[in-house]
Amino acid sequence: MSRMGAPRTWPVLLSLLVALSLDVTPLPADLAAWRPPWLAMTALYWALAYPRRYGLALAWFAGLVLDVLKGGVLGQHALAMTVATWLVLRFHLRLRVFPAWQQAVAVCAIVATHQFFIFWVDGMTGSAELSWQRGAPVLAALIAWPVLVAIIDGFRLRLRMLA
Amino acid sequence: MSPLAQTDNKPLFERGPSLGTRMVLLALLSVAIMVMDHQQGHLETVRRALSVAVYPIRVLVDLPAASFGWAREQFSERQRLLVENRDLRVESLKQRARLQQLAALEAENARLRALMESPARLANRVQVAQILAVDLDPYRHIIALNRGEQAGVYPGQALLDADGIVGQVVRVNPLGSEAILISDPSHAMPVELIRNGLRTVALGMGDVTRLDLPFLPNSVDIRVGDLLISSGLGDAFPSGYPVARVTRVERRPGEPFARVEAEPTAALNRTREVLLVWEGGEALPDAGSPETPAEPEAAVEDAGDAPASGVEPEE
Repeated sequence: MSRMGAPRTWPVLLSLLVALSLDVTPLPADLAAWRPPWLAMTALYWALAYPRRYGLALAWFAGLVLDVLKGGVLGQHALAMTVATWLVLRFHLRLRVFPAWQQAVAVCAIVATHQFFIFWVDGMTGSAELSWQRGAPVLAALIAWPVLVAIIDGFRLRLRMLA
Repeated sequence: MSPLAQTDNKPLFERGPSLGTRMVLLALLSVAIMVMDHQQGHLETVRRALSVAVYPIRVLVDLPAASFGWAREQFSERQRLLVENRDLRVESLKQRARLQQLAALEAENARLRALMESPARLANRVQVAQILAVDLDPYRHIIALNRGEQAGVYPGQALLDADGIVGQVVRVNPLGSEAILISDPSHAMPVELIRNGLRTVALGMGDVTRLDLPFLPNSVDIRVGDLLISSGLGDAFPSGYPVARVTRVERRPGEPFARVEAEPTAALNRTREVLLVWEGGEALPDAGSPETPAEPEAAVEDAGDAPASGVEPEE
């Protein structure tokens, strides 16, 4: 822990709350399909930062809360986020040493898996059509990931969670 | 590279189930929850508890939109407010003039219904609810409302706006509720053509400006511009409220059914306020809804008494 500073819980919870709010903030109708999956990406960030502390259980529960917030099928986002976080944890040693752009692309691929599970459950429980809009959040994640990393890293530096 | 490259301490000995096992367990749990929630609706208690916890998030997200509206009211010019006020007063006068006739018509209707020995139609009672400015699932047309159990809202309750039917409540939480719009692809509602009483079903298409009427034969008597009202069959919606106006009729000789589309009369994606309808004017203790804006409710409240007084002279 010497170089890290103590991992504190409240910044994690605060960032997840902000991500939850961003996930339902109203957007103009044209942009609605381009909303990056903020909560999933935040959970991925913390899994990458503290893989033994904030892992599957946190992602699963956060997904469940998002399901209630969005009023969808209970368990949909929980499943998608569990699988995405598992992928991150599985490859976290490699993902961490990637250069920024490569990390963004890798996260993009993981978000694509996440979106696939969302779409799958949508298709099982109702009517879902495959359209280009289903891929829009994946591209949005490519742009949003470096921004998210920069913001949360900045906070962690200020809070001395990072050396 | 980035500060991300630092880790928390790796324990000397890994304990507990492996990563893969935990993932599979949680995934199976998610699937079990989905099946239970989607097919049987067993998890209402879990959902209710969590919904109370997430309601502040909805309110918080709604805050910018709400405070923008508030600020616009506070800082708008006196002149504009005066003009608006005068317009509203004129409008209200016109409406009340029409209501006078309505009272007479209602009385007459009640007498005629009594003559035909059919049960009298009860007036409905309404209450205003705010739509929270929250984007839920982009592929479904679901809205969040700021009235819940504490206001006496119940699942299946109909929602109106000034121009027609908006949707129905699907889920009630202690503090708020969720409603589905009539344009949601999984929504269907029974309607009636006001011109000739033809009954059919209007399906949502996932587009707020269109409804689909798929079960009309080619020979049917329907024209562009016809008004569709709710028929009241199926007991989900009160009868007689406008739903949509026919915008397209395409008769296809090779197919069993014509293609008919209609545009909802209600402003589905533009309203901020909707009316919750209690059929028959029962339910809803007044004390339970203290924060209701007083003006709109007072205006609609006494509609319930008018027909009752009209029935009396009949004997």
